[in-house]
Amino acid sequence: MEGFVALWMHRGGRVGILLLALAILVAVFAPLLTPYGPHEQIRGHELMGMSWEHPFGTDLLGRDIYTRTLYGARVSLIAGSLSVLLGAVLGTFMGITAGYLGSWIDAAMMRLADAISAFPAILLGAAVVAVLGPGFMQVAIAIAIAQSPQFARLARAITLVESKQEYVEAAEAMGASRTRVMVKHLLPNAMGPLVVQCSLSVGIAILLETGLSFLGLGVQPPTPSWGQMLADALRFIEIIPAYAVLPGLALTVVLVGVNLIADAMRDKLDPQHVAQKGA
Amino acid sequence: MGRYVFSRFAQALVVIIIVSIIVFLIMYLVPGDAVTVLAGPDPTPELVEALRVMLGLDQPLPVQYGKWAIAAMQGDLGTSPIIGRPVSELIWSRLPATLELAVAAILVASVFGILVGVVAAQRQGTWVDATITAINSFVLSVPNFWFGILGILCFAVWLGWLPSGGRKLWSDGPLLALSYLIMPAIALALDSIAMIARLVRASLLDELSRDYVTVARAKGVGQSRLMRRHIARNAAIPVLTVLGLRFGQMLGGAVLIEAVFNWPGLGRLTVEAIKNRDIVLVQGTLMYFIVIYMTVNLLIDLSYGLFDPRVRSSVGGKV
Repeated sequence: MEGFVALWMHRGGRVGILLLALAILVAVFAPLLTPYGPHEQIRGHELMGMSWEHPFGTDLLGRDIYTRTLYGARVSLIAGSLSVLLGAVLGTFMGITAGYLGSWIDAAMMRLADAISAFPAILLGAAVVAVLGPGFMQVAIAIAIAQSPQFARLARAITLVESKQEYVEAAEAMGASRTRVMVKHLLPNAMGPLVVQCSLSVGIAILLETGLSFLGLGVQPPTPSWGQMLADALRFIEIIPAYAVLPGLALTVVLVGVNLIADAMRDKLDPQHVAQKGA
Repeated sequence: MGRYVFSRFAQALVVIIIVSIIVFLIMYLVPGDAVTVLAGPDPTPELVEALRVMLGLDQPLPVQYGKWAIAAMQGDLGTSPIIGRPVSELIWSRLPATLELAVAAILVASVFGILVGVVAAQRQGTWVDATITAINSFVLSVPNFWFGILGILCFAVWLGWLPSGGRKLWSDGPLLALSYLIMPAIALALDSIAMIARLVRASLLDELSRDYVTVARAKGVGQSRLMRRHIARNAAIPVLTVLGLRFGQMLGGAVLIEAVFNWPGLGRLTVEAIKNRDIVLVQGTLMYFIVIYMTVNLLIDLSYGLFDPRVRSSVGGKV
């Protein structure tokens, strides 16, 4: 709660919270905001332009674009948060294990992290999808793998500092197992910076999900996703120009919101960053 | 400097070896191997076995990797079973388009990014600075492929000034080629412009507040010499890093921008390969991206030494 108040006091953070809250509300209450279903095909209404009935037109199958954009928020928000959560768990495990156990485990884990981050994220995601096949969970796993090195490096750096502290030595002297030291002592101390890293990663994850869906490698039809809708919009850009605007605008609102929150969190926790920005 | 170069080179090599193992293993992780593709439907067990021997799949995994890696180092990345052409030939055929787009985008990003950053730093605290900062934050949050789609909507569909996609060669006429290149290049460069402008502003302001600038001014060094010989040199390091990294990423194929503008580059080749489950081609293009990306990173690291003598004398690669 204290963290939320601190974010709310930050001007950018407040705008970010409002934008993200709007997106979450839209995702949750989508059925109340539109008379149509996301998969509902209306015969004779295919590829219609803007009208009172369909404010942003309809797609090739006669589905309402405004409705699908509202429901698309669900995919983006869930895929974004789920993949960051998975990436954080995977990366933190790698980082804490590497930092605490050291020796060859450290070298192996960190070179693996280097190798993963050497791939351009979208291509790594696409390659993972090539192995696992397209789909919602597969995309979340692909993005999680792409994001894990950042969490691994951060968790390792914190572990290296914390493992030399007296409380860790005391726990070890009292006979605490390595697993206990890592889970009960090192992990709680790494949580703060890891949460900030999560907030920084959500925007990138949402963007990656949209990108993969845009390429046809992400969430598969008929589930509405903004990336897939933008790819569709490009095909019919001359017939329904508004189709290209609405999903992109929705995506931008979410990304601006998430990035503002991330910036605010970084400002609150990293005074050096604030000094740099204000310089 | 020699030890620094060696240590950086060794680190890059280790990463490339690990990546190559991962890329090699993709073939075994994907359901259905090359034999399934080549043998067609309902193959006899003898045919399957013969194909396995022919492709060397009957050998132990490390041996297969060794052969694959040695062939890859010699430029032989295998033959695409779907397209029926050598992978290296396919990469070479798409490389000019990717290179052209990356060079154009990085030029646009450098020129506008530095210009906007310098203006923001010079007008620090004024409305100009505030406007630039706000626009930068916005641009960094907007996906560049959506900017690309909006560009097509405005300049191709509504105004009809530019083509909506595709590529023309420079031999077809420079103006024509440029008309096809300009929108994808700007769309690809937009977030880099914002990032570089932000960095240039921060770097310049940071350097201007340092003691050596005050000392140089006190010694009577003129503003332009101070900027050229002292400030620009120090402020260049982070800017150069970001420019280099971006260029490396762009050479890896601007996958989404290429898809939006139907640009026949390497990014599209990879996506097509993934969609066709052409694993040999996927492996080849991924290896190409990694080697390019790592080489660019290495060059950036080594170029620090040109700007900062402290890096040259540091050993062990901790910069």
